[in-house]
Amino acid sequence: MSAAAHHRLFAVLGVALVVLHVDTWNAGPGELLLGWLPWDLAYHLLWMAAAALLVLYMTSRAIWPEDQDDP
Amino acid sequence: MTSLAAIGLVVAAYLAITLVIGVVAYRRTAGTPEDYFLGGRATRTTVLFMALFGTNVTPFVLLGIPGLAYHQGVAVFGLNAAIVGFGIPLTFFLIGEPARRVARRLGAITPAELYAERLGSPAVGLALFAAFFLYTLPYMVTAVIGAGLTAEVLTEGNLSFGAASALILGITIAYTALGGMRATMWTNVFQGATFLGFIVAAFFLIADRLGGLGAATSAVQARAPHLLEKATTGAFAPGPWASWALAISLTVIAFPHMLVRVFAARDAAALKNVCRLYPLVLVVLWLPAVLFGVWGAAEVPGLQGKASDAIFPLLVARHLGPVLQGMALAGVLAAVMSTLDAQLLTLSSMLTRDVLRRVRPGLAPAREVVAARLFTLALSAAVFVLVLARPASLFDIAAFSFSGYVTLTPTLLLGVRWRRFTAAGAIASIAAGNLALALALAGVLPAPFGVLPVAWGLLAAIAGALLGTALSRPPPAEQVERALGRA
Repeated sequence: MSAAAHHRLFAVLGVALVVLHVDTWNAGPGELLLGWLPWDLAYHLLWMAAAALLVLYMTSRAIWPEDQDDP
Repeated sequence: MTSLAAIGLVVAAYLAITLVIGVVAYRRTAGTPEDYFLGGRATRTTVLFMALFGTNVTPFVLLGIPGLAYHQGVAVFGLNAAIVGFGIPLTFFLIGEPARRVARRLGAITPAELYAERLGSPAVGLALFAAFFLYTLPYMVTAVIGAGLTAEVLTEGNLSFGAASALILGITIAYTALGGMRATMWTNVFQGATFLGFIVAAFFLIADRLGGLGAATSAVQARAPHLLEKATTGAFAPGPWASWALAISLTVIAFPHMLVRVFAARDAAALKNVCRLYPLVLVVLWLPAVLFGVWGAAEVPGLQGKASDAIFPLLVARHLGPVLQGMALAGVLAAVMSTLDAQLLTLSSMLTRDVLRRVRPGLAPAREVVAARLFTLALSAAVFVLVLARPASLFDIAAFSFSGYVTLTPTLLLGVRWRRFTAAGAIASIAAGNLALALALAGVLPAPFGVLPVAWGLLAAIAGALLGTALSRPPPAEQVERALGRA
């Protein structure tokens, strides 16, 4: 895949993640997971796991090349 | 040994270690501005991460967020923490990395200096300096207020708010003025480990004292069930939710004290590693902070308004012994000092490089360092006066500063990513963004769909940047090439 294609894929995934952050569908009462974790909190923890994976992709050489001037 | 003596001993040990690290760093610091202000641009992953994270974390997270969760519940996590787990690394990539490269190429030390050089305009540097100063000073005040508040609660008033604030400022001035960037970064490693270690320990210990995670949540369900669900009004309606997400995602890279630390990175690999660690460590810090506030609402009900900023120290005082109370205070002090030192150093470097050097162009490098140390003292005095006035809640002050920084992001981004961007575009962007923000904060501009004033500020800043650039001549090719390299 070309560098431009990687950038496009990253942009699409980034926008999708941001859209999923505005989670109006989670408003109101929800279940407790494992007896203590409110659903809204669990949703955003999962969202952060997805964000961490996307950041891993962002820091790959396909998206973020090394700087030739670095020591 | 009395409780107070135990707390005092733990805090004294923390302060002594911090000072020792500062003195060791001072002995390793050369007298050149680049070494004093940027640690020689040689910072590797661990120190860079702890310096950036320690600078980023203030009492806004340790006290303001539990205080907010006390009133608004678990949704505070989604509102404030989740989005920055992606937003901060993204802005490090989009703005931080190219800015680091340009700063090294131009030999720039402050962000204002970088953009003034890149755009060939001292006016851009002065405009950025003015904006950075305007928004950083109140943000510094939040840090010191947090420390004073915690000290007062945990020492049951034996150490007053004013005395605690003076103590924090005094110690921070000492190691910052002496050792510059190297001292602040090295102390940040210790400070970050202190507050992260304590908050994780406190999370499990307080949960245990409340009968376990399930029992703590059940108590909230019985007394304040609304705190376990997301509301649909106020800050949680889609408009305010989305615009606040925008603000806190974009604002961090525009903190001059964060951007300067990015300049200190040794290479791209160090900055990439910081990005990878950020979302993971955010969870470790923010999940306990939010749950302390929610559990506290069931445990200590009835706190009104900004009084809830004290819920974390109140829980610690109720459930943990004197040594751990001392560690709690040390943890909050660590969070305060790791931000305050960076802010003091950055503002003093900007006063020296962006103002004093323009007034006295022939200033010797060694004199620059002396001037920066004097500016650090003067800034601390100004912060102390503002702290004693304590104008609003931690969250309100931070929200004002965050919104202001966001108006600068179009200039910061376009200045290092768009070759056609001009000085006129930068000035128009900063002026329009801040004017729109001021009008929105004053209620002159409407708030469609409940969006926050920051959305107006950002929109105007983008429009100003594009319009100002379109109406001005392209910058000279050699000026662009010197900063950004060949196309």
